[in-house]
Amino acid sequence: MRVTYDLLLFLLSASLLFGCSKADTLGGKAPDEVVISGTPTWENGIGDLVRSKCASCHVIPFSFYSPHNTPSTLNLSVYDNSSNIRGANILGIWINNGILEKALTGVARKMPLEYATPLTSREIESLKSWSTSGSPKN
Amino acid sequence: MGREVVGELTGLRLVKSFLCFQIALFFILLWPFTSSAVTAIEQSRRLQLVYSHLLDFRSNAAPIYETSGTLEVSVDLQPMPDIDARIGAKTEPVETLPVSGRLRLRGFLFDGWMLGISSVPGLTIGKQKATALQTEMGLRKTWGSIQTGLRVSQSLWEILGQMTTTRYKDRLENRQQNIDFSLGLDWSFWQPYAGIGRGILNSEFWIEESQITLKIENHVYSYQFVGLGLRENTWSFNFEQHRTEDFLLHFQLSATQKF
Repeated sequence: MRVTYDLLLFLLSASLLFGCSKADTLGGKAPDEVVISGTPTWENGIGDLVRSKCASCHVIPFSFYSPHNTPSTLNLSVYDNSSNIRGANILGIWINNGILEKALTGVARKMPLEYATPLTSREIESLKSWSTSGSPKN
Repeated sequence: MGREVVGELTGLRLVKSFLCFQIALFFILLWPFTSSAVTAIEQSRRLQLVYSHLLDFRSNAAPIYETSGTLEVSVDLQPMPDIDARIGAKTEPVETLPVSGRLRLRGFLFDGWMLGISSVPGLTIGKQKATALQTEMGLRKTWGSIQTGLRVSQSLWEILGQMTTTRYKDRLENRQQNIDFSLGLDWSFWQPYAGIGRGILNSEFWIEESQITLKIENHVYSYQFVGLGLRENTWSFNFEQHRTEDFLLHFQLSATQKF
């Protein structure tokens, strides 16, 4: 029995010395970024940015990632409105009203939500620049 | 005198075992972890995969040929790696224990055939309740000191509890099928071995707060492992180091009583 305990002790010691336990969950990685060169318009970068960072949830039909309280009349994967579905042209007003910094009364929570892909400072700058210039399509 | 000779042989075996073991481990650790900028969806999927792989039941034994009628009862322990549970700007409040475990029973039939069952029977740990069942079938063959093992297994897991928030209860359900092959050496009471495996994962993660189900369907993955078994009379102890896909290293320990 003494030998058995010695073996167990040896194995535990060896495990501590040589065992490797490590997981790369991507949790520490920087968020994906859409870099826009030139004047930001929907066609020049903003469309790609909004589709990447906003339309993963705000799309019609809903994606698998859209939480249950996602508005059913907002489709940020396109710029223009269609019938009773609003497109991304509304975003400029919301950004000017500060939706990237705070919840807007009666409209929405601060966006993006905390478990969405965060906006980088360059992306926020591009969105604000686009909004202040009237959120142009082209 | 006799004890001295045995001691020298044992020392030699020890050195040989660890050389073999360290070389195998070295190659496993050579594969780098790589990733670039990510989206929250990619982070969410990766986290689900990591947890699923950590739940995966592996062989956790050298592929030693056992005679017909042998029964093994084992306790497996798995230290959990540090997990960065950040998704987007949010860190998921999942709290895992530093060690997880299971009970395992294996019976050896004729000509090296093996049947096994493992279980985690509705264990409530912290804020989560885990239930698991695995069945496995294997075939082991021996050529002198060379041992080989082929194993197929199926695992079912359900974990209920607080994972994405402390205000709601989420549910993770996993189904995994594995096949792996291992090759080992039986040097008296030392059994170094290594193996490769493939698995298919189906996972559903129900998030109560958002009322969405994150699904991973028919995800095929590969894993490699090296291990060292130590055997003394009816007891054996095992260390198995795993590498799963290109993002997870973890190891398992087991203590087995043979009847």
